[in-house]
Amino acid sequence: MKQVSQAVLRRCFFRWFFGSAAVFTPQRMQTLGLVYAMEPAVRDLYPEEEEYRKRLNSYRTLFNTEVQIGSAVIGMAIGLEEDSANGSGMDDDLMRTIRSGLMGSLAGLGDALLVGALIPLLLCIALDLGLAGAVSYLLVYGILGTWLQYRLFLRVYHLRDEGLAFLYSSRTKTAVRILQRCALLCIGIAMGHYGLPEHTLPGLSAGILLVLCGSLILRRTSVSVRGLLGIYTVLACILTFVF
Amino acid sequence: MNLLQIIIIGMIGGVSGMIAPPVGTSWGNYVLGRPLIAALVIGMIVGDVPGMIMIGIPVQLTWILMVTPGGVMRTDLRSASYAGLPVGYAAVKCSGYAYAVPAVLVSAVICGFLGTMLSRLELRINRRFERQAVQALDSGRTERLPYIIQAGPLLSHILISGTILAAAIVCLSRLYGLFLGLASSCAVLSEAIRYTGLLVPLWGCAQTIRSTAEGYRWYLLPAAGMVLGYFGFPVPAAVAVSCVLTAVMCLRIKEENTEEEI
Repeated sequence: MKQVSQAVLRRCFFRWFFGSAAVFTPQRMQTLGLVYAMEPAVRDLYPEEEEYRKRLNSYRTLFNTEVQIGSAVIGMAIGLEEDSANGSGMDDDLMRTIRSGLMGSLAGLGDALLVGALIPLLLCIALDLGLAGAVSYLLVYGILGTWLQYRLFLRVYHLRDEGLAFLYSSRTKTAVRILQRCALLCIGIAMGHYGLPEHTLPGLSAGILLVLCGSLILRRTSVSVRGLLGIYTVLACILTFVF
Repeated sequence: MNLLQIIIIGMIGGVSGMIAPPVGTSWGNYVLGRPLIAALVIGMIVGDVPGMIMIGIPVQLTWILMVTPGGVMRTDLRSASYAGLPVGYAAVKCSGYAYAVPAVLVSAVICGFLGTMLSRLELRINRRFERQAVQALDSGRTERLPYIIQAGPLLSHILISGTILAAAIVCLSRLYGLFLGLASSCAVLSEAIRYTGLLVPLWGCAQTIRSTAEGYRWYLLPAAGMVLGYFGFPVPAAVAVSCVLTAVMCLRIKEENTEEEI
C-alpha cells in the first residue's frame, strides 16, 4: 500500500506555506503554487517518470483560494492522490471537481473568517496594547497561525472530507457571522479610541457621520475609494478655511 | 535614518507584499505587511520603537480590514507600511512639522496609492518566473522548481522591490520634508494637511464597512463601537464579550441540532 511519508507531508505543507502565491499572476493565480506543493507527494507516490509527469500535470488547471485555510485543499489533494495511487478508482475529473469546489468555498470562508474577522479582532487588541500588542500579534498570529494551518492540513489529509466537515457546519457559519459583527464593533471601538478627529462630542458626532456617509457613498454611488478620499480632502480644505 | 537603515527597511518591505510574498502569505502579508508590525520592525531598525508604534497605530487603524479577493487591491498596504511610515517619520523629523500623526497618515496614503505600481511590476516579473516554471514542467525538469518558484521570487523581491522601496523612501522623504517645511511656515497649508490626516482613518473605516457590512443594520455596529470607544470601553473587553457570545450561540446551535436528531 502506497503512503506518503511524514517528511514528504511536511515538505508539501511548507512548499504551500512559502510558495503558494510566490509566482502569483492574474492568469494562473496559485496554480503553480499548487503544482509546486504537490510535487514531493506525487514523486513519492509515483516513482515511474511517465506516471509522475502525467499526475503532476493534472494539477495545472486554474487554482486560487485563500492561502491559509487553503492548506486544507492541499491535505485533501494529497489524500485523494494517495487513494488514487492505491487503486480507489478516483479519476482526474473527479479530483479536479473536488479541488475546484473546495477552493471556492474555502476562499469565501477564509476571507470571511480570517481576513474579515479574526485578523481585525487580533489587531484591535494589539492596537490597544501598543508595543506589547505588536509583539503579541507577531507571536499569536505568526506562530500559532502557522501551527493551526499545519494541524488543519494534517487533519484533512488523514480524515479526508470528515476532517473538513466542521468547516461547513452550521456552527462555523454562525461563528463567522457573529465574529464578523464583533469585528465591526471592535473596529468602531478602536476608532473611538484613536481615530476620531477630536476627542470631543462634536468630534465623535462628526466621525460617525463621516464614516456612515462615506460607506453609504461607496455603496450607493459609483464613487471609488480614491474618489472618496478626494471628497474627504476637499472637505478638509473647506474645514481649514472655515475654522 | 541612514542609507543602511533605509536599505534594510526596503528589503523587509520587499518580501512582505501581498503579491507573491516569498516568505509566505501568512508571514509576509498578514504579519510583516501589517502597519503595526511594520512600525515595530522599522522602530527597531531606526532605534525609536515607541515613536514608530505611536504613528503606526492610526495607520494600522486605517487599513485594519482589507479584503483583497483574487488579489485585487486599491492600495498597496506594504508600501503604506514600509514606505509611508519611514517617509512620514523622516519628513516630520527634518521639517519639525507640529502634527506628526496626520502628516504620517497622509504620507502612508500617498505611498499606498503609489505602491500599486510596484505591485503591478511584481506581477510582470512573476510572469517571467511563471513562464520558466511552465517550461520546466513541460520539459520534465521539476528539480528546477524550487529555484524558479522560491529562490527567484525571493531574490527579485529583495533586490528589485527592496531597491524601489528604498529609493522611494529616500526621494519621497526629502520631497515630503520640503513640503512639510513649507507647511510649517504657512498656517493654511499646515491646517489643511492636519485636517486631511485626521480624516484618513475615517476614510479607512468607511471602506471597512463597505467591504464587510451585509446590510444597513450592520452600519450601526461601528457607530455604536465609536460611541463605546469614545467613553473608554476597552477593546479586549469587547473581544472577550464577543468570544463568549460566539461560544454561546454555537452551543445553542449544537443543542438545536441534537433536538432535531432526537
